[in-house]
Amino acid sequence: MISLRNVEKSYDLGGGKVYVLRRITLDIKEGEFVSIMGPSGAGKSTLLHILGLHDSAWTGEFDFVGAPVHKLGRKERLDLQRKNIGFVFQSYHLLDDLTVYENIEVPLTYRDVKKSERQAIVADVLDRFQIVGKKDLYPNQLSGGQQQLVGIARALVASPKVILADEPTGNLHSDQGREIMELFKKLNDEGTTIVQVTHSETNASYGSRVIRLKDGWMA
Amino acid sequence: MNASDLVHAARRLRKSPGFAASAVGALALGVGVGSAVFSIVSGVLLRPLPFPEPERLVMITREGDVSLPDGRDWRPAAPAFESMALFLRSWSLDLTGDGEPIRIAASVVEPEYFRVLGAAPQLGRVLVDDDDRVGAPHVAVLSHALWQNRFGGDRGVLGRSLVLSDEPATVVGVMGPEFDLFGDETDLWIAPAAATPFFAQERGSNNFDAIGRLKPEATLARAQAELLAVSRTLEAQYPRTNRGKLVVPIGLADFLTGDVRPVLLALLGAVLVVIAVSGANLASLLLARSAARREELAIRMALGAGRRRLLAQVLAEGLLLAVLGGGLGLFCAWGTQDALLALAPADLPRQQAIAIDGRVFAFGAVASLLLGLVFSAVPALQVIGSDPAAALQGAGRGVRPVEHRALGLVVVAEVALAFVLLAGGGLLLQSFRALSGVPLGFEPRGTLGGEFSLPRSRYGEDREKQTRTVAAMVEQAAALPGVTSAAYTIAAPLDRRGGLGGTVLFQVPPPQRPVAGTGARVRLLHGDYFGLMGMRMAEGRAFDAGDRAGSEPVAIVNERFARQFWGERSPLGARLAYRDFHDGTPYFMTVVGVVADVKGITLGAPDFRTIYTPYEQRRVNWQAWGNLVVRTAGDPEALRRGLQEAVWRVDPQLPLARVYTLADRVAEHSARERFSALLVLLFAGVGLVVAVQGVYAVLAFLLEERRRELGVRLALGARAMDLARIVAGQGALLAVAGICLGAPLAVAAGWAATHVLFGVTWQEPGAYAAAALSLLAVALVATAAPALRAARLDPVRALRTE
Amino acid sequence: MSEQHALITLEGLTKVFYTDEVETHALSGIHLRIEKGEYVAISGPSGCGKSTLLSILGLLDSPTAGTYILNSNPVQSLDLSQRARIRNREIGFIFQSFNLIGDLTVFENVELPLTYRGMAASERKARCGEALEKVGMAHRAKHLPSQLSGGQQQRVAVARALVGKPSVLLADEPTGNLDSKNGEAVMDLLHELHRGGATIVMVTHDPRFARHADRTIHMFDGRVVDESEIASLSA
Repeated sequence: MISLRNVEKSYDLGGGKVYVLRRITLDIKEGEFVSIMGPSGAGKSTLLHILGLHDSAWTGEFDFVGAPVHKLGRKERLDLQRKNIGFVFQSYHLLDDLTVYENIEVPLTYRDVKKSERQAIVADVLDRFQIVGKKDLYPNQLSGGQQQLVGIARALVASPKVILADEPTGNLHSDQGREIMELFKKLNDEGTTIVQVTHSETNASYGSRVIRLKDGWMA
Repeated sequence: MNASDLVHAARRLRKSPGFAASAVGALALGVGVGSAVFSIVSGVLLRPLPFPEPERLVMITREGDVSLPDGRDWRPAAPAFESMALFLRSWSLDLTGDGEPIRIAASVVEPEYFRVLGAAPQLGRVLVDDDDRVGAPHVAVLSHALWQNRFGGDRGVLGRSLVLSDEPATVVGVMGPEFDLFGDETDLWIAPAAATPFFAQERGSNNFDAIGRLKPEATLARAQAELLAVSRTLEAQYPRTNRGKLVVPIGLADFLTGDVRPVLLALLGAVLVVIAVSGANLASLLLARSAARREELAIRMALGAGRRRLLAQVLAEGLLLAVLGGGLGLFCAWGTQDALLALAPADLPRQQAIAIDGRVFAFGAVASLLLGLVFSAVPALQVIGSDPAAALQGAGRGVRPVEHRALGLVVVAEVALAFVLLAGGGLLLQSFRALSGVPLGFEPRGTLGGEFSLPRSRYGEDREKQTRTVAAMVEQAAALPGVTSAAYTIAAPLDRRGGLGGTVLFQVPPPQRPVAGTGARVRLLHGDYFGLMGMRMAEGRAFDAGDRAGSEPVAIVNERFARQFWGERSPLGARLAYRDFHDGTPYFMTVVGVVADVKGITLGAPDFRTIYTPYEQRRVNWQAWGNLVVRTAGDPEALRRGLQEAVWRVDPQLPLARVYTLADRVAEHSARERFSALLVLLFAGVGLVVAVQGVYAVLAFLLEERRRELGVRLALGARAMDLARIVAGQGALLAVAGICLGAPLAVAAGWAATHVLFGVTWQEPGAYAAAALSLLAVALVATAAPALRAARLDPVRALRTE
Repeated sequence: MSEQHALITLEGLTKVFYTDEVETHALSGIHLRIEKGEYVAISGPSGCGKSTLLSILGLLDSPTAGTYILNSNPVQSLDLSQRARIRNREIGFIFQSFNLIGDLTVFENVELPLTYRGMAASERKARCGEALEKVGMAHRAKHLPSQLSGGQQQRVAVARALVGKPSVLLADEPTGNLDSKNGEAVMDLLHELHRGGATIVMVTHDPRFARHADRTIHMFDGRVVDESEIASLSA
């Protein structure tokens, strides 16, 4: 499903070239739950953003659900992203001006889903995450754990094939973190592919495989 | 863009009321001032004249105007014209008969006039060639206003007989309300033959203007060549009345608006600057906002938003701002239109065409949409055009330094501009105040005056009857309750005509030094005119009852006259001979007094050399017009009606025209100065507001940009005051740089405007200092909010990386 | 060691964040003593409260409850300007993302804390030279941060933290944005400073770097826990 061959990323700094990622070659199959680990500055988040098609300034080959990403234009990449990827952030990144309901609805509005259908889908997701009672609250009225729950609900609402999560429990207490990880486990069991970046061995233990990075290299 | 984009945009704006208010304010200011001024320019310059094919209409001008016989010789010699007509504006007539007698303003026009303009009457007919035959029954065409006011819009007015200065005339038509070519409120139109047969006979009677309609294929150049040829011929035929008189055709629109066109275009230019600068302010505000919204846009991109959708969302906000700001601006422009026009000087042409019409609305709408959409899209495009990863990871914040510098320069320019306008406005205001404070030589408060003219038909050359009537009117006026004294004068102060013109032939004793020119004015008086006006007698005596017809002719001269002809010597007892323009016979007088100078013509210029003589001793019998003036104890306005009735008690047929107070006349004479001062100060106010908005917007932007840096400084031990000082310092820097840039420009502008200044020079330090101080104060106000926000910064939040 | 010598004493330090519906305990009852000259690492998983603790130690934030005694002075409830003064005199910050100010040269960046004291220019110059010498960056004094590598920027940031001769250096993941070689270099620099007598409190979640310290304080869910406890909690 995901296949990287010799992917590299660098910037120019004061004349010298600084590498963030070097010769990354890896395959992730449908249904896997992969954790990317490594010290700060190792390039974990950068890799995740490349997988999420948010970052286009890299070299190498990247096949995603059969499409050669390195050859695609901006529009095709966006289409690919829309159809297949849901993103979960460490600091939730909910839109402050929108209610819980509206936050979850946002990805659907970018996918030309009819209003009536949107209502049905969002209602379904609210049910599944048991946050129906909070649908009219704004993010700043929720605890961190609840916000991340909304973040995951939002990532899932458009039924993506892959969920990419960047330290999803990084800002949470351990019991809230545990809940989130168990949710991921459940989603994975139901067939969603998950790739997470984490510092925590505990979190990694929920997954099926660990990819370790150091100074931009795969260990 | 869809409805939910708009709903969300509205919600976002409501959540940041400070931003919304500043942005709407910036837009409203630009669009409001822009539309208001554009409505003037559009009305005066762009709206077509209310006649068919106005571009073919041509004014034919000759220096010193033209007489009827000369103008009628042009017609066959100028085939470039399809038609041509001579006309005379401002022919005063007394309308008597039904209702109160009034003085009306007639236009004397050849019947061709209506064909030239292509104007049809609203009622009845216009003048026809037969009406201009000598001996034809007199007819008149009424203006819409006279028809409404005098005859209550009665359609039965056609065929009614009027009495115009004791001559009967029949109403044959009424024109529509638009038919007012020069905005001079003509009451009715009559043919030259109905005015006086003298016009058609006398080549020296140069009282007429001419207007023509070119043939469709003819050019102005061809018309000019033909007119030049005919004026040469006339010069050869009638050298006495035609020597050196060139005929020049000018397009009617140019003729009407030529004087004000450069001023209005300059004004329009200034307005475009205001709009552009408001746009720059809006851009800084939106840049500050986009720095804060970068993350939100990136999240939306990560959630799958395409570029077009994000742009639509951003544009929804721009649209909302444009509608709110533009709407507010247009509303203010509409609301202040009347006030603006009330300030406009009376000689601004085509004022009746000024309105907030579709064209102005379109101008405002286009301006606000352009500003709102362009400036909201541009900063967002920067984010939308890049990968969201950078913004999501907290990197790539900030705007390139080029934009910083550009914004800073715009604000410096704004401050400089405001400085120039403020300093200029200050100079003009001081000039206006100097002009208003100028010693008049008379006391304008509590005076009321009105003009009359004793009609030939009833008074003829009956000198005795004229004198009796004038004396009786003065007596009646003096008897009015509230009136302390009354008098007659042929010309009151601040009347540009200034009395009867003439030449001083000789004086005994003769002047010690040669005097430049011999021109002087004669002002006829009756009653205690000097006492009434509060004019100071410098020497000798005022007129008294002994100065009668038949007694020794006496004169009182003004100080200027005395000084120029007799220098330091006393003129009392001197003899002078005087001749007026109509009669070569000298007239001898003995000087019995000297009276102080007054502002006789304008506030700026000194009075004419003047000879005052008693009305009873006037030179010729047809001098049967003038002013009845009174001094009142209370409000002179309350006596307007009473003064007219006093005249009617003497002659029930005699209207009193143009009743005025001298206080109003003084104000009118400084109206142009007041208007320029107000206009420039108005623009200075706008400039000041723009500068404040600019300083505020740029500081708000910098604050957003430097949030993290300020957090670091806090961690290093900076106090809240230190941060506030950094922001305030930036504001002060912008203001001081602007003032430094503006100062030489302001001085240069002041120097260039020297000729319009009165009683103040461009080297007036007060005006510049006041401008600089007010700008600094205002910049300080603009700085306060961002500086306070900097001082309240929460270091933990400012330092958070993600 | 007697009570007077403790540089930092925390007793029952608690920090609660309130939102409309919920209250989140970022720190719950922290007790801690740090002696003069100690090198202490604070470690724990993301979200355990270590950054909040560091903000409070640095007087960037104030606790909801509890006492914080720095150099024998209770500082938990000072007003804004008093806190700014203590930050300036007693504390040196080193950040994960360096946080040098982009418009200022290396020298001006280092000089910054001294300018907030109103120190004479000649003395500022001498002190800055000394600090830059110490981190080996004296030759780049006139450069702008953008002309330096990450490792060099962090050295400058350390010089800036040192220049005011603070009682304690607070470092928040100082190697987080660096590759391992540059990270090691910065750790060596801190070690050297420690040997010269500096008190250092460093937040990290990398156990390799925590080993440089005399002592590691482990945090979990807003509390200080024993090393032995960690294993059971993580299980």
